[in-house]
Amino acid sequence: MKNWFSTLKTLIWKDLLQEWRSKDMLTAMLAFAILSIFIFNYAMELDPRQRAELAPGILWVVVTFSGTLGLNRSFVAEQEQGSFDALVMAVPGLGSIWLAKQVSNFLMMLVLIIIVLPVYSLLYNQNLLVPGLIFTLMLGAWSFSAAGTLLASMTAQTRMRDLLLPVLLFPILMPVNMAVVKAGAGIMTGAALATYQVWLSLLLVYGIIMTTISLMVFDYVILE
Amino acid sequence: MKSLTKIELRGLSKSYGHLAVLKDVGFQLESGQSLCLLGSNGAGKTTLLRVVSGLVSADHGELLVDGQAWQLRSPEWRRKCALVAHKTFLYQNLSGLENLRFFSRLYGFDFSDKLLRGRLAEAGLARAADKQVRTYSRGMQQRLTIARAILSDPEIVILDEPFTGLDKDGSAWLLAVLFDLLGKGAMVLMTSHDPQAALEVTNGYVRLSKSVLGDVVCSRDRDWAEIEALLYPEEVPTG
Repeated sequence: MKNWFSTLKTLIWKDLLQEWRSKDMLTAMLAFAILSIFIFNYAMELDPRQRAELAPGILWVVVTFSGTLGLNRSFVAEQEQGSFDALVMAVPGLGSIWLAKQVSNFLMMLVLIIIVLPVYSLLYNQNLLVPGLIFTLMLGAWSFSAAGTLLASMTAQTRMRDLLLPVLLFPILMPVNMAVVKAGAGIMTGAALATYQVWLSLLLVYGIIMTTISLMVFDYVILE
Repeated sequence: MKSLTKIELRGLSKSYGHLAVLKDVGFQLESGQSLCLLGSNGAGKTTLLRVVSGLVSADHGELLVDGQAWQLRSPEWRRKCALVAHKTFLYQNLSGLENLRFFSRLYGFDFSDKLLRGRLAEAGLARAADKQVRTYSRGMQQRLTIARAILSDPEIVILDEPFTGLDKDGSAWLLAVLFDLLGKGAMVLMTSHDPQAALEVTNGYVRLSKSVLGDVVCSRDRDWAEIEALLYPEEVPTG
C-alpha cells in the first residue's frame, strides 16, 4: 500500500511539473473560460435576483466546457512519445495511473475555478466567493474529473477524440450538472439547506461511485 | 544474477479483425541468451514484441517461465520486461535526469541523483542531464530511452530497432550495455534493420515471414553470409 501511494505521488508530481512547464491544459481552459464569461456578460441583461439564480448555471457551463478542453489535452504528454506504455509496464497497479491523472485534472479544475470566480464576480458585480458555492463547485469538479478522466483515457487513442469526448461525457454528467446548478442556485438565493441538501448528497454519491467504478475498470479499459 | 533461467512462448496468435499478424508463433530464451528477430516491414515484428512485453493481448498462446505458466498480461511479467520501442516513452518537458528519476521511482527504486547522473554519463548525456528532452537530438533521445529501459535492471530486454538514430559511439555503447546485461543473465529479444550490427551480441536469428516464425539460426561460429543464406534460402542464387 505504501508503494501504491508512493507511485501515485510520483505520477501526480510528474503531471503537475509537465503542466507547469508546458501549460498545455491551463492555457486552453483559462482562455476559453474568460472569453465565455465575457460573452455571457454582454449577452444577458439580468436583474440582481436573476443573477443570483443563474450565476451557478452560467459558471458551471463555463467550467465544464473549459474542463472538457483540458481533459482532451490531459493525455497529450502520454500520447506524444507513447509513454503510456512505459507507465503500464512500470507500475504494479494500473489504477494508480488513472487516479493520478484524475487528481491532476481535479487540481487543474480547482485552479480554473479559483481564477474564474473573482473574474465573474467582478464582471457581474456579484460576490461569488461564497464558501457553500465553492464547496459545491469542488464536489462537481471531482465528479466531472472522475468521469472525464476515464473517458479521456479511452478517447485519447482515437482520431476523433475532440468530438468524441464531449459526446460521451455530457450525457453521463447530466446528474452532476443538475445537482451543481440546483444546489448552487439554492446557496446563492439564500434558500434553506434542506431545500438543496439532496443535490449535494447526489454530488457526493456520484463522485464516490464514479471514482470506484473508474478504479475498477481502468485496467480493462487500458489493456483491452 | 537474474532470478529467471528460461522463458518459453508457445502458440502465440494475434489477429486484427481478419488480418492474422501472428500464427502459432513460439520460441524460447535462456538466461544470458539473445535472439534477433528479422522480417520485412509489416511482418508483425513489433506486434510480437508488444505481445511479449504484455502490452498487447494475444488471441492464443502461453508463456512458461522456468516451466511454470505465467500470464503475459500480468503486472509481475510486465515489470520484469524492459521495452525500447519506436517511440521513446520519454516526457519531452522533463529533463533527462527528471525522466530517469521519475521512472526509477515508479519501479520502486530510490536512486540518488548522483547514481542517475552516472547512468546519464555512461550514456554520453552528462552535459545534457538538466536539459529538457525536447531539446535533445534523435540520437540523444535514443540513448536516454535505452538508459531508461535498463534502469530497472530487467530480466527480459525487448528492443525494437534499438540502433535507430545512434551514431558509431552510441552503437558501441549499446553493444556494451547488451554485453553487460547478458553477462548478468538477462534475456534479450530484439529486432534490427541492421542485423549485422547485432551479430556480436546475438546467439541466434529468427525470421518472421507471413505471420509465421521460422527456425532459429544459431549465429555461433558463423559469419553473416552463412546466416543470411540459412535465413533466406529462397534468395540464394542457384547453379
